[in-house]
Amino acid sequence: MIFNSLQFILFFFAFFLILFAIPQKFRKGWLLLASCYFYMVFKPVYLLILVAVIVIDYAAGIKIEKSKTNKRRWLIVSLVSNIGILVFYKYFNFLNGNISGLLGCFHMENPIPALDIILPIGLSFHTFQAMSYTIEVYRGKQAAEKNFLTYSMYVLYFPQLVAGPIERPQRLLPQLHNPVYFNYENIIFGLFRIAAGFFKKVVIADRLALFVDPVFDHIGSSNGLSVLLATVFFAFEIYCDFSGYTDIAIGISRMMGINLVENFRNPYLSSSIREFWSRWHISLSGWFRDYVYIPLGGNKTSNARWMLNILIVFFLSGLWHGASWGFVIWGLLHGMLLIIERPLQNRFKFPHAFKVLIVFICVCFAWIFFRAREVQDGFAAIKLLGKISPLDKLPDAFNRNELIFVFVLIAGLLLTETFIKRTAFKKQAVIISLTILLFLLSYLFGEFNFKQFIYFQF
Amino acid sequence: MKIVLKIISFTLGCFFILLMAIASNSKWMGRCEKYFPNPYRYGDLYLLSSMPGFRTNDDVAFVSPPRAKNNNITLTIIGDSYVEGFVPENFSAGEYRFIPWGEIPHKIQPLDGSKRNILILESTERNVRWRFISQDILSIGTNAPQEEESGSNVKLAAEDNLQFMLTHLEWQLPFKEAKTKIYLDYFGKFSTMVDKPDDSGRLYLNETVDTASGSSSFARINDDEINRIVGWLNTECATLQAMGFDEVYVSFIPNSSSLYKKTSFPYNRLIERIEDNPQAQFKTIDVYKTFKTKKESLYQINDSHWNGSGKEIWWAKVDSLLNKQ
Repeated sequence: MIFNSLQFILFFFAFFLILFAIPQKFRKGWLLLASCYFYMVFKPVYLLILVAVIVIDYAAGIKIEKSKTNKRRWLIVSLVSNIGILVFYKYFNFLNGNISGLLGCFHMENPIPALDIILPIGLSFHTFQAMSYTIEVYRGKQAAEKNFLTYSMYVLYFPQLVAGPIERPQRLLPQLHNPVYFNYENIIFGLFRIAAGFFKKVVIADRLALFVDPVFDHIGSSNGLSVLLATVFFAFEIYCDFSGYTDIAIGISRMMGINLVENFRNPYLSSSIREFWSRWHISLSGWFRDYVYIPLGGNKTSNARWMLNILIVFFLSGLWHGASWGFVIWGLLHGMLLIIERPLQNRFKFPHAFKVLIVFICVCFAWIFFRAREVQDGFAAIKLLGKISPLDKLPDAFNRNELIFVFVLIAGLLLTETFIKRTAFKKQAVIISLTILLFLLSYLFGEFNFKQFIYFQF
Repeated sequence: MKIVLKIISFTLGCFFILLMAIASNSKWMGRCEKYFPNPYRYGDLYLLSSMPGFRTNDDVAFVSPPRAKNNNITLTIIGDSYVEGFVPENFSAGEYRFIPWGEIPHKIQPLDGSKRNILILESTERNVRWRFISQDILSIGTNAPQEEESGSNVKLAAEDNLQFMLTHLEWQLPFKEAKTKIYLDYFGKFSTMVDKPDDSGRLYLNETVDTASGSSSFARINDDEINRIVGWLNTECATLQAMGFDEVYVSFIPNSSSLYKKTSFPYNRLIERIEDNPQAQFKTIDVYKTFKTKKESLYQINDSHWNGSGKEIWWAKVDSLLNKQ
């Protein structure tokens, strides 16, 4: 069930109308039931995987807390279960395909066939969130959750189940213990956030996709100018797609009085790659920082080891996004850019706007490998960028008016997010009017092709 | 007051769940269809495009006078949506069978040799080039892919069903038209299924106009292809006669674009070239030439189908055929 479908809209209304109509003691149960249904719409049987992981992590959490000597063993049980499921569903065919390729070099055949498996939706998100719980319990920073339903909710909570933000137990679990009350202000602000996310998704992201998809899906018949524009557009497409989803998730949660972590802070205005990663997919960056980078030694180590740590983290981050070399290259490119920028930052003083521009160009360059269907396509796109000509013909996805409209949307997005704070509007009447306007504009200018959110596939 | 609000809220929530349940079940959906507004009420082309200015119902009622039944005649029509709406009462044949294209092997029934068995093969012009060319007529439909009841299909069907239920309400149509106008005027975009409106005051199915489409009235067709179609029809009509049909007729319903659309490309005259082909050994029920002579509109302006007047011309020809001794 995608957020921009009629099924979801109906589900949303049914869920909230019943939630606030039933007695308080049943509300948590209703939320859990709705979350299970939401997940089962994708593939009912996959709920069993989620339930299995929940049971293992719930038990592991309690055992870790109680045990004096076997803490580490229970942590390993939890991590192996989570990573095992992730590797099996997400990386088995990728690893197997690479082994086949390797054996092929020696004229040998891989006896293990590829498996016909469908990736459970949002697997990377909920396994990371589940692992975060057991690690925090192991570190003694979080008490083990004794209430099985509350823990189930921590993993299954539908607004952020399939594409985050990846929450920490310290933040989400206490909120799940709180009773769910009807609060008029929460409803208004929640709906406003949903409207903003919806607008970003259907008006900006899905419109940009109309230009980006034909260019990157047929790179052989594209030209330099098209690739350049498609790359810039993709940068905003993925931003609006993912941050739009996050806005909707945050908005739905707000309606129930639950505050989810912010995942984006205007990332394209970053003046360094380091800053970019503190503004882009913040919950994932934080996860890798706390559970991979710092345990590896972080930056409190030799320069060479620090560089290796960065490359490991970004290699894993790339792989987390998808089982393909394109994502790995994307991750490693970011790692290398981080390594390169550290000495340069202290040596040269550039104007802020120049740094923002350079970072944006670097980020866009890396997006090419993220978006290209194959690694070769990514290199072909870069080759085309070297042959840009002002005479290059653009794909006919947009006429001149729509092209201008797209630039206005992008500029409007950047200006709005830079100069208008989310808390700027205090008056409820203004919020309500803006919400209605955003929904109306989303309808009039939105592309309703039921394109799935990009990050659902991760 | 609070409790009343809660009851209303709960009831409404349950109603939405009920809608979701209905949308997910094809049987329930079938039963409930009549409770929702008919999306085709302003024509199929308006439904596809929401084109402003075409939200009208200009259909002419088709009323056939009561017919005395001739029990000696069995009329079978293999046809499409143009003739789908005819009922046994419209014809003087004692028995009337309608078989949609694609269901021939399942629906064709044994013939009673003591009766006059008449068969009409009806097809709209836009389907002629792919329908009448390769497959043996009695096997049409046997290779049709079976609808899988897989999870993803159910999900897609559920979304379609919800669209059917919730997105064709009268108050929504002005919003849809406003969106179409914005897209058409500023972005030069509109439904790809419909041709851009011209000054003829009609909507046309894009595939019947776009010369890149094989269904287009303006796509070039060489004589070899016409001969192949004629050859196919000769063979198949002979097969059907050998099965026991006493008379087999072929009838092509023209695209509305063949009659009304003015383009820089000439009409390919597909119907005439088949019907007048010297090699043709089958009988036809021609309406194209008759339609050309008529001044009144024979097609709805917002639908790819004919209106009651067009239907009546075809019906009158069939009726006279049935009454012919």
